[in-house]
Amino acid sequence: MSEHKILFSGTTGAGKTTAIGAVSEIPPLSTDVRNTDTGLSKEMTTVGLDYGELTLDNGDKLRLYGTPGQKRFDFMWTILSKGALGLIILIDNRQPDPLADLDMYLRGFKQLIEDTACVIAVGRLETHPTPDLEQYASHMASRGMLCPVLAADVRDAPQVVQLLELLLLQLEMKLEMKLESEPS
Amino acid sequence: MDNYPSTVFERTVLTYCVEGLEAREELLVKAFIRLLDHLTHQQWRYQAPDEQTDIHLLLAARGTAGVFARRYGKLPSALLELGHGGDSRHGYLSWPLRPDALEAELNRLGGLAKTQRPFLSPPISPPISSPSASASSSSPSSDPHLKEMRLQQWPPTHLLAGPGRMRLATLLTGKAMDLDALVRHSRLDLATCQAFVGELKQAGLLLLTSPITPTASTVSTASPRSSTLPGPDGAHRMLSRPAESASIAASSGKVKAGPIGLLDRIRMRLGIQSPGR
Repeated sequence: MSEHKILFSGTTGAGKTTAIGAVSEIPPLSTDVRNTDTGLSKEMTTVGLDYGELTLDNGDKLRLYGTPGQKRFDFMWTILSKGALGLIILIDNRQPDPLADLDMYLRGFKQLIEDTACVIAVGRLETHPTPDLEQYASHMASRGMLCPVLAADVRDAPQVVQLLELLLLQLEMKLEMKLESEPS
Repeated sequence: MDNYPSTVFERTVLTYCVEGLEAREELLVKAFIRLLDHLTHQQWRYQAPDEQTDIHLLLAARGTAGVFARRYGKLPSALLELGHGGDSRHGYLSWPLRPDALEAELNRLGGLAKTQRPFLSPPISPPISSPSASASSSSPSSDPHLKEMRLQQWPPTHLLAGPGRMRLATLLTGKAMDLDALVRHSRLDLATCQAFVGELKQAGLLLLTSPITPTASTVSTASPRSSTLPGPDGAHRMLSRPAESASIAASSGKVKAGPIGLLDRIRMRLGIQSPGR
């Protein structure tokens, strides 16, 4: 039996725990603690990681990891990135500077993004429309990066599945490129 | 929050050449690029087009990329056209040149050029024969069946409204592919793909390139049903490759029924229909 993993990262409060819970076949295991950060309007926050899993038809496990959102835990991003198939970045548009948040994750997971695949999901656009998706796309382009950027409500399982679908599609294309460039 | 560029994104040296500009314009463009050197994400170096090295960017007067292609039988992987009149947009800057606009385009195209395979080695064969067949994304007569396409930037929301469009756009974020490959990979009908490609082209979001004729070095014949994808830790993850590699694998004569791929297994588990079937 092999094990594979996909990471969910992003701003605190963006819904990593919720996204994993939407598709995991087990109740997500979280290391949530009572939030003492007065800047965050949530009772609990993840300080370690979230974990969910899916069993594939051949018995392989697809492990879904949610990284802690805070920058001070970025050492865990590197650890979790090892061997990951790809990354879904969840951005909370309620935050004061969501584009700066995005930059932090693009930088923190730079190697993983280059080697595998990445999808950016922006939440709460309906109540906080700025920056809009076009601004995200331009921002990515100005960094020389290109990956899907879409609005998502991760409480809705089909929307989380769509994020994963786009991630797999990207990964597939990357794999094909790699295969074509390999010497015979 | 640190700002880009920084040591995080190391500055790659990229090359550019110039076609069809008046001497004064050419001098001005080169001076601008030198002046912007401390700001651009990549370091840009002028390269004479007849030298046997890869060139990443062609700065050309509007409509002259084809002249370059005819003369040298090759095209750089990115094109920035300069012209008089019209609004500046992706892939096109209008005189008088604005340094901030040039900087933004250099950064955008530099990012793309870094991730794209080089289009100069081996040279495109046969040479492109008319300006209309240039790599310009603004060339309205380009036949997308014959061109390989790639997105320059994720499209705006209104272009993504419609069945399958998100998937089509995602496919175009990776390898450059022609319309037929897009239809095959997306499992959408030709008209849907064609309409989407047309709108992307109109919005100036597509980078069109001439395909490289498959050679022994560009088509893998080894292990057609599996490949390794290097992980960020350098470890290699085995991914069984399903039918999406069939066209490549078929050329090797090594295709045989094999185990379903990992990506398909994940899709199956998530209840997603696999593309390319």
